[in-house]
Amino acid sequence: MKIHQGIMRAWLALTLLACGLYAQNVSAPKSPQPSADAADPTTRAGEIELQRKQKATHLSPDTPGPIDNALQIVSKKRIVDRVTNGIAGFRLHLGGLITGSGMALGPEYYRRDLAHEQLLYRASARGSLRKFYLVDTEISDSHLAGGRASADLYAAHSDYPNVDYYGPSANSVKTGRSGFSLEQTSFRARAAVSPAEHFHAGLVGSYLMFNVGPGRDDRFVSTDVIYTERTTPGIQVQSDFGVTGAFVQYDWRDNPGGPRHGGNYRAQFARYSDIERGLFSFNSLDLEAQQYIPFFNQRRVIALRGRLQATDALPGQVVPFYLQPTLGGSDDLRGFRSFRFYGNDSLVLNGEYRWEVFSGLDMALFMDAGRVFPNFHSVSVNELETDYGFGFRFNVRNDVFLRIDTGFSHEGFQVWFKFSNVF
Amino acid sequence: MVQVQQRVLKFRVNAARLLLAGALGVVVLPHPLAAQKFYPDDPLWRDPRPLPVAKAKSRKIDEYFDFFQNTFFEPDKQLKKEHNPGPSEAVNTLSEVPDSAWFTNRIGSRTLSLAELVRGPGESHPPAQDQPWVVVSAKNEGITPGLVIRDSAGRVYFLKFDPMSNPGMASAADVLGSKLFYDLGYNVPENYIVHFTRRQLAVNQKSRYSDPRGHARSMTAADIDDILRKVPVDGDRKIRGLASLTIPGDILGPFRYYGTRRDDPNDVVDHQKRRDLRGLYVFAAWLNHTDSKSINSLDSLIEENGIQFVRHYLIDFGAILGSDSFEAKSPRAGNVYLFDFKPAAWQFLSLGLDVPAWMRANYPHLPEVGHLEYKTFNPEHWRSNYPNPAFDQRTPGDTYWAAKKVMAFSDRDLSAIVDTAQFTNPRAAEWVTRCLIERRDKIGRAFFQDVLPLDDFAVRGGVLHFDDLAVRYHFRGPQEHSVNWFNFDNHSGSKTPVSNASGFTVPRVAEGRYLAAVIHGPNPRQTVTVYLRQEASGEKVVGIGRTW
Repeated sequence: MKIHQGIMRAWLALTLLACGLYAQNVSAPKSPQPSADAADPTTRAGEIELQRKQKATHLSPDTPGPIDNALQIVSKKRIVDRVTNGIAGFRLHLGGLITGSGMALGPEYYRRDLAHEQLLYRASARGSLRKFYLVDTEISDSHLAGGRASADLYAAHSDYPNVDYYGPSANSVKTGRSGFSLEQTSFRARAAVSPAEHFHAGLVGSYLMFNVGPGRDDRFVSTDVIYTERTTPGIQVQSDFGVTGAFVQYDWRDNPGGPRHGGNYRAQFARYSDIERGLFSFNSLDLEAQQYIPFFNQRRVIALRGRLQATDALPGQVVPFYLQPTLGGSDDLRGFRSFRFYGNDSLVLNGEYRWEVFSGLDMALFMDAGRVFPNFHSVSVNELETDYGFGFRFNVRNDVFLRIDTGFSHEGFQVWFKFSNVF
Repeated sequence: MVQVQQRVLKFRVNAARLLLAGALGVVVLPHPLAAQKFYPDDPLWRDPRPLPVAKAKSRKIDEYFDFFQNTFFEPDKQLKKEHNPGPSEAVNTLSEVPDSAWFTNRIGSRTLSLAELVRGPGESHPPAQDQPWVVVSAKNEGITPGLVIRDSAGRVYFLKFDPMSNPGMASAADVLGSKLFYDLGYNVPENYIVHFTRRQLAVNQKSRYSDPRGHARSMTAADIDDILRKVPVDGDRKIRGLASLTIPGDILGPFRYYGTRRDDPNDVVDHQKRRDLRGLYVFAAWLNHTDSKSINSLDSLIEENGIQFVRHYLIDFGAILGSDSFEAKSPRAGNVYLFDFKPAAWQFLSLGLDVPAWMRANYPHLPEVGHLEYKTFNPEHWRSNYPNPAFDQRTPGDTYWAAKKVMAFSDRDLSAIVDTAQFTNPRAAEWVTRCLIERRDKIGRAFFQDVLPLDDFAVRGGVLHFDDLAVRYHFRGPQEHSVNWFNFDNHSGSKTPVSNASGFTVPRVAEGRYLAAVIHGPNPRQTVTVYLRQEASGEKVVGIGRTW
């Protein structure tokens, strides 16, 4: 939160300065020059006293300049704080919907000062010009058992009129782009413990309800027109799911908002049980490892990530396409469009060389490789899709608040503006 | 290359002209109409009694404004580009800084005992712990919380804490900063390291609290618990804090590093021209005070001897040495500005393949110290977090003046002062002491070679004596000096050679007449002109001017 406040204040300061600094006399009052008719002193002390007396004749309040003053008013009235933290808990929430939704915003009720700052509660309703909507609410306590345990409850309902779908498998083609609408309601409970430093383990339980319909973007054909239930399970019939799972994590990154050294290793297992139709039950395994190798006093970092998402349908069941792992987009294969590849399993490897340009900006050269697979047995590092690119990472106190990545692949290039770090 | 040489040459010519003018005219307190170079009361070692200040309005400086203005629209930036900053002011005819509301001559000007150096601004007012401290107000915003407390004696302190990641670091830096900057001559608050338990803090009905969202309300005991959750606690459940005694008087807000206060009749010298602020660059470099900005200064309207005037303070030293207050200092701190266009452009274009020396610096793992070292420290290229107009207009005369004071600290002095930081790890104290010693010596080497470092001029037995500071501190061996003697006309400023002058033996002149001794070393650009006035008691050194 402080980062956002800092950014907003900095932006405000720079804008005001750029607009008006030359309009005012930026220099503070110069030292007074004695007038020509001043009497010559006969001692050094007398000379200084003469200057002082001359200045004393035209003293004025030492008020700040207009820009400085304006910024102080902004600070005193806590205007930035009111925008970021809100008034009486209400504030504006930007972004947070899926890629492709366009610029989203909406009101949010946000309180992190409950129960002596142990409890966080938030609720928001956000929408975008492309008519993507999300309402959600969350309550969490991360200070249980002296900070060694946490718990949270989360509920959300979203309505996305058009999510991209290019067809099943890694062999899908860019020209096969279609769209489907996705309505989802979810409830989630999670509890975690931290028995040792950096180590976390927990349980997750969710209830998910899906409704898939024709895509509502006239520019693209609807998914259900060109893909069938056989190629794209779940396109015609959807279901409700009960999800139970567990995770373990060892996170020793120095700063998750912009890590320069350490690592983060995570494994999560979940069982998706089709409660309504008994058609789409499966197990899911998500493995991810991140490693940050600093050198030159952490002004250079090699950042590596590998992620494997595997699903395994129960006997006689299939994994619905809207719950399949996907690749492509700002967080994995950055040279490909969002949701470019759907498959039952996915593997992605990312490598970045990051270097500091100045204290608020790091740059990166990156390479991504990844692929989706029809089943776990076919997972390999052969024939991976690859891309490469460069990026700008703007940060405040090493927390990335804006990322601009440009990725190149054999399918062209993509430019991503994101308000979060990639990994 | 030719262009670079031309620019260097232009700088040297400008500097030489400037300093020649300064040397011949003797740079003194502003005297546009002065009809003579020396007055009977020269050299002045103390500013005259201040004019009374009836009222002065408190005002703030927005920290973002200060950053952006100095980074992108720095006042007098053109002078900086042209390497033509103009002579330093607020100095006496010996090129020294007289005692004033800004500065008091201490180390390097008079003999200070070790006890005095260690005492710094004071050690007789630590917060009394006979009764709980009443929390006057508290803020739980930002990265590290802070309290304002009142002890049983009624004294008010700012109570600050170390970051969880570096117990002892910021408090050590703050207390060392207050002592060292005081010893160097500046006005600073009294800072104390305190150890206390939760029971030492109490609230009353008037206690105010600013929560993490910046909302103010009455404070409760639970709020103290919330704050203390964010600070390190040792094995005995004791908390280490830094109690900074509030500065006396009516607080008027920070001073700027350029211009003057409009409402202070005694503030007649542009701050960017003050030697005590230009020279502060050297002290800041020595102590790695990268946060030396307006926000970390304070003007206070005080009354002394029946006169109310503005006194100027340096405050908040939690971000000096290896500390950045809330975390260990970034390795880039002290080496490049937060935003510095040329290095940034070079990093951008070089894809990070350009690796400056500071990136290769080695820091021992000492959480109480943070990131402090000396091997890559370059005093001439040290940088604060963002440009400071006074720093950027420093001249070799300013850095020489300041380097003399830094060099006046002995190894023993520094070791004793560092001990007051109460490091729990002896290696931390050893390392900080070593860094201060090594950085001190680098400062001496760097800034004593920019001028002819002759000092402590005195006439004994009819001979002009002086000390070569580069020799005194073993930076080099002795070297030959020659001298030309002149009769100096105090009213016209003209000099006529003295015939039959021999070496450093002072020629005889009538009482009230002036002599100028122009001393040369191996470098023809570097001279020292010593002005002597013949008085009834003998020859008196009244002026010193330097060229470089």
